[in-house]
Amino acid sequence: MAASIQPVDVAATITAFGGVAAIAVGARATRRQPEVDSHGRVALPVDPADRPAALRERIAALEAQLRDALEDVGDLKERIAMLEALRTTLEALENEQRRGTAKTRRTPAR
Amino acid sequence: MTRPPGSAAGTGGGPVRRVRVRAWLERVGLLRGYLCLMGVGTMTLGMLLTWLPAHEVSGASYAVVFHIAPREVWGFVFIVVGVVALWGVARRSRQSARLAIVSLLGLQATWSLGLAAPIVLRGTANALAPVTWLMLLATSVFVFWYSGGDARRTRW
Repeated sequence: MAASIQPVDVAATITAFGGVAAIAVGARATRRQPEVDSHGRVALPVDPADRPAALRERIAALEAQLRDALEDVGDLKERIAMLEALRTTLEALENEQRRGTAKTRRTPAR
Repeated sequence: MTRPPGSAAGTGGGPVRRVRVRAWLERVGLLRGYLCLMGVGTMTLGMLLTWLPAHEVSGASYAVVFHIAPREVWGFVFIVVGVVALWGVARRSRQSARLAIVSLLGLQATWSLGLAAPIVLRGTANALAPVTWLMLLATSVFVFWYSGGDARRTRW
């Protein structure tokens, strides 16, 4: 029945809708907006440096660097092995020399 | 009678307190400071609505708001919105600050309209109506200040 609707009902409905509208306006207003440059163009959401083609290039460059580094490591290993061999030879020579010196000392002086 | 420089009569706090308040605001940011204040205030109002005797919070000027929901429900809603505002301050994320400010905006808009409507309907004004409109204005200023393009440059 239309007579049962009081002014306070109408006011309460309008008030409740007002509150909901305020929430909607606030939510819309505080939404993060995309960046726009000085020409009005919308900036890409993804950094161009992070796009798949650029990423593939970066991965290829990193692989090349890694390969070079591994080659360098191989060279270093060879050098280390050569140095080890040299040290062993040197130690052997030193031992021989020490023994020779000791023999000489033990020889009675004339 | 001499006062220390920088302090005003009747403020109760000297220059030291004022410097402390400014340092706190600079540290937390204007929006988070406002949200903190509103959170504490809204929670206090919610507790008052819940625990004050019914005859203290009644009358024709509250007819519209209490027609939407009973006093205790409003008290609970105020406390929840206050907690959300304080959570938005503590959380330090843009999304939580956004939720806090939007829920405050909704509550303040509802109460501004709800306390102003009886002026037209029944000719009874509520003393809190202008206060709620001022608070709604302050929150709206924050919403539009921190909205759109400025949001990127804003520390949330």
